Amino acid sequence: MKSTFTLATVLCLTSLLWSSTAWAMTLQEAKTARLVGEQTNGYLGMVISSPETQQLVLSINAKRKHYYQTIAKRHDISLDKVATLAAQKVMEAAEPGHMIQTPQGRWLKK
Amino acid sequence: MTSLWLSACTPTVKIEPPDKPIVINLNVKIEHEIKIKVEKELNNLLENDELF
Repeated sequence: MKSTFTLATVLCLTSLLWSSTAWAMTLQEAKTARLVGEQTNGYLGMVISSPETQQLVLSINAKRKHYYQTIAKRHDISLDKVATLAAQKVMEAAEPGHMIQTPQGRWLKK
Repeated sequence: MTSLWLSACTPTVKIEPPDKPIVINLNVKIEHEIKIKVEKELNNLLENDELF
């Protein structure tokens, strides 16, 4: 009984530690380090693959999709159109040195 | 034969940075009025540093 409790505590602490390290990297830091970049589909892409960047990319893209969906529904247009329009804007606004993807799928330093 | 095999395994990748500014045109076709409204909402969204 006691060992089960200890195991549960260790698991909880480990997951807490893991999630805190995953969140240690912010989006802006990842962009500056060129670990992530903007894709032509309006979502963030991994330039350098790692569990940490993957976690960040998945989490941010889920949130982006939610907002794109809201805008798409409000104006009765497709999610893809909103996302593509966002891609164009976000690439124009990207800071020099950040990574952007070409329609051919190649990563370029802006 | 060996040199051929070796050279086949060491490809040279040349990446030349473009001297012109990068322009990516994604050609989104949406009715003009709606496009302006959507763009306005996207501009607000893009200000969120945690998302973009």
